[in-house]
Formats: sequence, C-alpha cells, structure tokens
Amino acid sequence: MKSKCLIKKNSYYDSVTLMIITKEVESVQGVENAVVVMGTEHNKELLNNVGLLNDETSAASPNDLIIAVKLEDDSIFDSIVQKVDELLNKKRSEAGEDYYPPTLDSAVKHLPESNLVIISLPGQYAAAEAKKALLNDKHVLLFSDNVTIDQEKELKTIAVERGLLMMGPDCGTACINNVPLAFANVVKKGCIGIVGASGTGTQEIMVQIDKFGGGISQAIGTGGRDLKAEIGGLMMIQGIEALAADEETKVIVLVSKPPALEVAEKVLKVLKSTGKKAVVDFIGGDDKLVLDYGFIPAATLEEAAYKAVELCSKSVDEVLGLEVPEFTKATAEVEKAVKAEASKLAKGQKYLIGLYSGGTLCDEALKLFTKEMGDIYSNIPLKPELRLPENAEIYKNTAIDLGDDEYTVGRPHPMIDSYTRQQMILKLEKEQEAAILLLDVVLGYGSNEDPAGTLVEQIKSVKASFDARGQHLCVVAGICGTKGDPQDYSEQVRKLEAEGVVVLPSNAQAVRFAIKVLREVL
Amino acid sequence: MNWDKVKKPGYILPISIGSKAYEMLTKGSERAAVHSVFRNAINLQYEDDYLITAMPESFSASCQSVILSEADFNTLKSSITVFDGAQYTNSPMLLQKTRIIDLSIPDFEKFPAFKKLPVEVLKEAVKSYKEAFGSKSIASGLAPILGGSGNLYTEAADRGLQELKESLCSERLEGIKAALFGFIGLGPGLTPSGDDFIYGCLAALYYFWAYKDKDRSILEKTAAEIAVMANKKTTIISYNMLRSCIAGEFNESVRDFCISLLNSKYSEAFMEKVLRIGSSSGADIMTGMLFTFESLLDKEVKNEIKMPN
Repeated sequence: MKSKCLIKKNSYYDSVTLMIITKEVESVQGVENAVVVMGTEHNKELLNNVGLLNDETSAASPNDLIIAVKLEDDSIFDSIVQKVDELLNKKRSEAGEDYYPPTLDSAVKHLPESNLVIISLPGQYAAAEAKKALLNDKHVLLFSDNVTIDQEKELKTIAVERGLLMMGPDCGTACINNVPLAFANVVKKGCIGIVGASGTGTQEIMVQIDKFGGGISQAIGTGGRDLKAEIGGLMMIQGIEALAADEETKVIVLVSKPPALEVAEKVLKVLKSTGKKAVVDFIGGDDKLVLDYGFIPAATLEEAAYKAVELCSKSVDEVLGLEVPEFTKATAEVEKAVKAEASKLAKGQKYLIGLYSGGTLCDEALKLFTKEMGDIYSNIPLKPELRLPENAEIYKNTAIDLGDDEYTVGRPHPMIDSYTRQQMILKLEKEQEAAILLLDVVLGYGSNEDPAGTLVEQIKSVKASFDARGQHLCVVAGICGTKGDPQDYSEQVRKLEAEGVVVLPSNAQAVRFAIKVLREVL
Repeated sequence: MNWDKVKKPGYILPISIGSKAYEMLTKGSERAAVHSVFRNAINLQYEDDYLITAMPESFSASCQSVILSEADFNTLKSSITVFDGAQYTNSPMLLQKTRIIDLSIPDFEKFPAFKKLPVEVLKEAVKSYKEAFGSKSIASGLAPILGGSGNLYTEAADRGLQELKESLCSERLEGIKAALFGFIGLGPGLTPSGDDFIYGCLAALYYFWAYKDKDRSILEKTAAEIAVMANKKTTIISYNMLRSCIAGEFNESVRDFCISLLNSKYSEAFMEKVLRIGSSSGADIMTGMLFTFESLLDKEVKNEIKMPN
C-alpha cells in the first residue's frame, strides 16, 4: 500500500462537498482509504495513526485542505487528483446548489469552453486578473477603472498579439453576439456593428438604431482612453478588424470623443481597409477628416444611428444627403408642447439645468446647447473657463455629469443609485432663475430597476415649490431605452408624464426641445 | 421626507445583526478580506482574524452574524468577488435601523413562566431528543458518539470522551478543559467536527450553570483558554466560533434549544433548527449538547440520591 496526498492551500469547502469527495475518492478502484480533512494538528495525528502522514501533510496548516489517500498503486493518483479537481470545480447545481467559482483559475477549469471574462474589481487588482484572463486566451471586458495607462497599454498589447478583445478598462457597455454585457439595452439583431469608446454613447446609438428599425450585430467597447495617443486606438482597431471579419456586420459605427489626429488617421485607415460602409461620430470632432476617408460623420448619437440604419440599404452618397428629423413627433405637436411649457414660465426664469447620469449624454447636451445658445457651465466643461465655479453646484446654464468621479466616491454610479440626483433635484427649489430641468433616464441591463420611479417624488416636490411661488419648472427627459428593456419602457414614460415631465425618445431631441422652450422666453 | 430612513437602491439594510458584528462594523473597521463565500454564507475577515458572517434570513444568527433579506444577501453575494487578496468595504451597509440580536444567556430566575423542573423530567427531555436525533442515523463526524456505528473520528475521540464524561459528572473544570483540548481541530469539515462538538458542550455547560444560578466566571476562563488553544490548532472559522463562546453568546438556535430543553418543552423544531447550522456542524453541535446535558444530569441524579431525606 502506498500513501499519497493532495494539499489545497487556504481552501474552504463546505462539509457536504468534502464528504462527497471522500466518498467519490474511496470509490475509485485501488483506493483502500481516503481522508479529506483540514490540516489541524489533531487531524494530522489521525492521519499518522492510519499511515497517511508524510512530509507534505505534516507541513499543512489548519486552513489547508488535505486529501490523503492510501492506494495499491500510486500510478492512479493522477486520475484521483483530476477527479478531486473536477468535483471541487463541478457545478454544484447538480447537488441543488449554484456554483460560484472562487477564483479565475477555478472558473476557467469549471467552464473551459468559455471565451470571455468580465472583470469588475477594485482597480489595483483588476489589471492582474485581466492579464491572467488574456493569458488564458479569453477576451476581456474590464469594467473597473483606476487601471494605469501603462497597464492598459500592456494588456491591450497582449490582446492584440493573441487576437483577443481587451474591452476597457472602464468599459461599461458591450453586446457580443446579442448578449448584453454590463450596462446594455435589449435591441434587435441586425447588421450594424459598433465600436465605442464611450459607454452611454454606445448605449444611445444602440437604442436609436433599434428605434429606427435597425439591429445590432456586435457592440464592442474599448474604454474611454483607447484613442489617446498613449494607447493609439489599439482596441478600436482590433474591434474594427473583428467587425471586418464578422459576416453579419455590413455597416460599422465608431463613437468616441475627438481622438488625437494621428490616432484618428490610423483608425480611419484601418476602417477603410475593411471595405465596409461606416458612420463615424467623433463627438464634436473633425467632420472633414471623416468625409475625406469616404465615411459619414454624425453630429449627434441619434444622427449616427439614423444614418447607420439608412446605410444598410443605401449608398454613402445617398445617406450623406439625408437630413435627420429634428423630432420623431410631428412638428406641430412639438411646437404646441413647447408653447405650453414656455407659457407657464414666469419672468426671470431663463436657465437650463441638466442633471445627467450618462457622461457622453451630458457631453452631447453641452455641445448641442453651446452651438445654439452659447456658454454652459459644467463639471466636464467644453472649455476650461466654463468649469463650474468652486462651491457652486449650479451656475447659470449648467449641465452636470453625476457619474463623474467627484459625485461617485463611496456610492454606486447614478445609473444604479439615484440618490445624488434626487438630492440635486430637491436643491433646485431655491434656483429662482431656473426654467428647465433636463434629465436622462437610462434603461437596460445594469441600470436601476425603476429609474423613473426613483425620480418622480423629487420632481413632484420641486415642481410644487415652483408652483407655490407662481413659477413653473419645465422638466424634460430623454429616455435611453427600448421596449425590450427589463424596466418596462412604457411604464417608465407613464411615471414621468404623470408628473408633468416632457419625455422625448432621445437625448438630442430632449436637448432640442429644451432649447426651443428657452428661445420662447429669452 | 426623511431620506435617512429610505433604503437607497444598491445599499444593504440588514434585518438583524449580532452584537459582535455590530461592534466591528461600527467601530470603524471598514475593510475586510473576503474569506470565503458559500451558498448561504459569506465570511468576511476583519482585523484580529474576526470573521463576520452574512447570511440570509432563514438562517439563525450568532453574535458575529449579519442577517439579510434573501434579496440583499444575493446583492451582496453578487457584489463580492473571491480571489486572492480580495477586499470588501462596508460602505453599502446601512446599520442605523438594524435590530441588534441579544444572545446573552437569560436570567432564568426572572424568565417568564419558567419553572425549575425535577432532574428526571429534564433527563426525559434529553432522552427524547437523543432518540429523535438517533433516528436520523447520521454517520459522519462525531454524531455516532450518541449511538450507531463509529468511524475514524469517533474512534480517535473515544478516550477523550471517557475523560470528558467523568469530568462532567464530577464537574471538574480542569478535567473538562483537558478533555476538550483533545477535540480541537479533530475530524472532517471546514469547522472540524471536534470544534463543533466543543461548541455544543460549552453551550450546554453555560446554560446549565445559568439554570443552576452558578457563577459562570470560571467557565468563561475555561472557554477563553480553549479559544487560545483553538487559535493555534484549528481553522479561522472554528477559532471564531469557539472565541464567541467566552461571552456565552451562542447561536440563536442553540440558545433556543437549550432554553427549551431546560424548560422541558420538547419540540423537534428546536432540534431541526440547530441541525441547519452549517453543512454538518449542527449535528456535531447537537452531539456535544446532548452528551453534556446527559452527563450533567447524571451527576445531578447522583447528587439527589446522595441527599439525605
């Protein structure tokens, strides 16, 4: 008889699992005895008594798991080790329990056919786990932020070498083979592929494509820094190449904040080489460069979606000449609603206050407003001099990205937890010059299960305060969501409209509506 | 509206919390290592190896437990990732409105409707519980001590059991302590069966002494010495469990079982609740309690016989 052992350092399994292992190992032909215990002194004594103590088991600590076996022939030990690993990693649902692999290694063993790992960990640990996943030949969606740019470069270089997607860091949205990942909406399957360096930007494009009757083949996130010179668009290029190889994808949409010129050119060259039609929304970027490469530029996320859907059945030249409708509803109906809201505003009410949960949606609002109305202050200003003054949460025309770091320290993102926005809405009560409150309401997987419901009480309260002093607060909301989203789109609209909120089906339309109301009173 | 009273989405509002867990979470220990995650338990490891265990509401609490609604438990579980060096921050837990569970041993003299019963009546209650427990034919861990065919671990425990029985019958704490040392870290399980057995023994001793209105300070000293030994000789989870015995704050279902037995309110429901502790710990705890109550009551019978008319 020979004795062999397997030590699992700092391993914690419940007793039922350990009993199953004991039984299964004992049932292997050639095994005379098996003991599965934690490495306490008394258990080691016991192993000694039954002839199973050796140098390895002696060295185990009380928090190590010992699997000691007495067998006829030690050549079968490898198969026992394999069996134990299978049992420890196997889906416990077979025994009526869900299985949560405790480590990436055990997850990989548990589901070897998996090919994508989603990582959401504190930043200091995230890069190491992402690297481990890439080295296991898995694509990665890295939700975490606080990963250094050097780490990002290293991870993306490994990904490119291995032909993998390294989505992130700080990648909040993707939809791969119609499986939504992180924050994502339920959209129709179709022929439009998106590569986005912006979370809510990608979501808004997906949603609008769905509304215009199109569908998504893939939505690949890159993380917000991918088009910076230091990273050089590694993942946007990788994403474009993935879409080039994807037979389902006929039209490509790129969305990002304006990249460095050399990066933009590199990306557009790769896009050109795919031979596929494309819409490029370098939000507020250089339209001429995009046109020079034969692609279609877009001024808003909604326009990018509209033109992408049109491109599925039309040529680039045909689509270039198309005008995007300003509003989905009939002009007369919109004008009537604008006049109705404007007529209720009192003298002196003149400012727009935007409280956003989506950063790109806020950025889009800033750009549209600036183009039409002039300066608007923000915590993510278009120009440094338009940064909100210190100690002022609101200043004249304002649009705030409540998902920015300064508002999310120690609390979840405002798309999940509306608390900060609720408080900000209540504080508007004292803003006597405010005329319009502009909001985004983002639906989809990952978002709050009832985003509209979390805001209506505060909207009602602040509107009542304005009414009480003979004023009116016009509240306008753009909904980023589809009828397939888990929150029930119609119910979300109903809840907002019940409190007198003007609900528009896109952020761009919401901003345009707000501008029209302001124009009536200025 | 008072916003402090509103449970914010993404935040966790525990239903109840053990006194030690409350102390840990409110004294500023915000960061913990994720020790282990099971289907119905999440163990978080704080400074000095203190573990706090989050569990769904259908499970009974100990002084280091945080009891959550099923939904909150699942939220917490999904927010935790287990990997080497994983950290957890308490910030999403709101404790202002949480009930603190009092697990201290009641003053039996002041206990409502509590009558001290003749020893024979209590022995009958122990016998009934032993029969009900025996009918489950639990063959693993130390449960066969109370009857049934032994195993590797009961054989190893055999000599210590004799010593323990004799010491309990003579109520010699030094002997009890020496015997219990021999069980630390013995047997299978994440909390080895021997540790669960000790926990059951100490619970029975604490409650029986309280019932007899005896000064428990010497018992606390013994429990503290056992905990010191456990720190070196067994797993962190077991060490925490045995350390919690010092203050006499036992698991809710263990407390309910002891009180019901001493009040001779036999009900299998009390036993079943104990058996639900851990995966197999409940059975070993029950073994320790029944073994100890039986021995202590044997001693009482002898004393009664010795008593002159």
